[in-house]
Amino acid sequence: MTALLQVEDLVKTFGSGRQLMGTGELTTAVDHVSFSVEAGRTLGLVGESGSGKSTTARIVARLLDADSGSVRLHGQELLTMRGRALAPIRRQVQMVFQDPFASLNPRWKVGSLVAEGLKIHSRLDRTQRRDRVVELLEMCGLPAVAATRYPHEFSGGQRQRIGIARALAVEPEVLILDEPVSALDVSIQAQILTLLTQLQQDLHLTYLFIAHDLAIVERFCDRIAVLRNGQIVEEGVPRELYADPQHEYTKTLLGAIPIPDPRRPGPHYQRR
Amino acid sequence: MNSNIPPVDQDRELSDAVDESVGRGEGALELRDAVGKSQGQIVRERFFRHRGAIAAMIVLAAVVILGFSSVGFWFVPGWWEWAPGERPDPEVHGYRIFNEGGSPTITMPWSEEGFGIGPHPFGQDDIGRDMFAMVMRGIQTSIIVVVIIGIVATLIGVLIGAISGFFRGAADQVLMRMTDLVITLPTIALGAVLGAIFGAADPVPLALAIGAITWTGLSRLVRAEFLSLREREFVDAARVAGASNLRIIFKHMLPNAMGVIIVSVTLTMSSAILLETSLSYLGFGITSPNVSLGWLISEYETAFATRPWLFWWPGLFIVLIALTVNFIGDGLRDAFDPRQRRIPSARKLAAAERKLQRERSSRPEVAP
Repeated sequence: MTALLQVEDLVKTFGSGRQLMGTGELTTAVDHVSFSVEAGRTLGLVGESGSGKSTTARIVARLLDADSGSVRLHGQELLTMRGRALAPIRRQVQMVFQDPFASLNPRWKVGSLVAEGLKIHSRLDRTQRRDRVVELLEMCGLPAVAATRYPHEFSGGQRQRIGIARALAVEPEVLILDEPVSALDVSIQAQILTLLTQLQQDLHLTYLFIAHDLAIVERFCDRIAVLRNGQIVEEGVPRELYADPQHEYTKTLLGAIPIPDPRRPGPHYQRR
Repeated sequence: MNSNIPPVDQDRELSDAVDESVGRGEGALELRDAVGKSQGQIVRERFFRHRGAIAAMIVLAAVVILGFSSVGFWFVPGWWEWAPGERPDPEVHGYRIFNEGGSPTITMPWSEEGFGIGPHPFGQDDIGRDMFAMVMRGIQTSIIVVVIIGIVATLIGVLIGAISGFFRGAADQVLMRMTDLVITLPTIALGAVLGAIFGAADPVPLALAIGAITWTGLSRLVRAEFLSLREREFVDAARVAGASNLRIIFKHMLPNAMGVIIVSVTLTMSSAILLETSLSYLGFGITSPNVSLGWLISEYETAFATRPWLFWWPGLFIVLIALTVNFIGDGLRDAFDPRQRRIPSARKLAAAERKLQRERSSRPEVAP
């Protein structure tokens, strides 16, 4: 099976401050990162803050330009596309954001928020769009009346459902999940992850899942890549990675998972 | 695969959302207020609760209606007996100067005669022109000038601020240095020069000229607002959804900057009234046959000792208009500022508490 999304040798550096004197220091946020995701699978990108995982996600979503490297979808290079050529790609790669409060425009009704991608990409008329929005909201576990409400009337979990509905509106193939549950309560996290799993099965979605919490990633992902200082230090299937971490950093990350009951037998990272 | 994750319990989560408003004692009142309303509606309601701003709005509306209806505007005739600049004819009216020295015929309710306006309530000038008609025409001029300044300053300020804040980089550098240049030049001098070029004797060119120099504060505010808005996640979300730059600027960012813009424009307008007045007073602005409040003051400056009412009245209305517009601006700022939380009275707090208690008891308790 060939990979749907292929990322190769991605490099992104940020300058610190002004470069007027040419002495500004460069920080390498993403340092020759390569990975690939097969269709219908989930790749977890794990690392602490500043490890470059979000930067990688934003490059794949074409929110940032990379310095070098390539991102290919169906073998088609994304990074060199601009302007009009980019539109169909935008449609195929959608993103769910970390902060469900900041990622929804407070001035817009939920219906318009979800329908924005449809308005831009599709030729549906008003009533068709409305039907599609209701369908999307219900798919994500929200009542149809939600479309006529404003984001501030919803809780964090519900807002994240809105965010997912918006991302799914244009029928993407790849969904980038940028820490989609890290801003939520633990019980709500489980609900959102269940929803995402369900959607993946129903719609044959491919996920790039960004997280800093190894406990969540383990159950959710088919493969995991551990990032540190912009480099992938270890990659593998969750079960093997957890049972036998090769890199020091992975061990540290695993050791950071809190243990609810140290007396209980079983793998030390298992929660709930 | 995920057997240990509890199934989605939708009802539970929906009720959680309601619970949020119950749980927090402090914010409960605000949250209750906010349910089911757009931000525009919330702002409107908060504005209408601002008594000072509402009073100012009523006074300003009364002044505007009085100014425009009394002496007529454009081709619409007014109900006032005299036109601006018209003098009584001894043959027709039987007098040239009604009271001694042309003093106002208006009488106050607490005077012996009781309330009455008489033929020249604001008095007459040395050649018998009716001051009320002149002041009303002056109000018209000031209002027209202020509205045009508001429109011009908003267009230029928002455009420059939005481009600077959104595109940053070179565009920002060029536009902001240009803005700095306009700020460093004294407004009065610049207004006088521009007024002379455009023909300041008429209200519209003068307003355009003033509008072309008063946008600076607004553009800086809009730029700052856009700089912070463009980092917000919903802008990224729009970009991922495929929105163009124009769409992001006009549909996503501008509506979120509306508060800043409205408040700043209102305050710009109130200072523009004074700028027009100063220019006209100094002789660089409106001149005869047009009438403005500033021109009236300058025209009758020399009569201060003998006929003080000749500039009491225009002065009063200048202050009234500037003050009310300022009050409205303050009210708008309070309404748009989310941190501006008025302290509710003890009675209101108790009522809110009772309401919450009632709703808590009427709903089955949800396990935390």
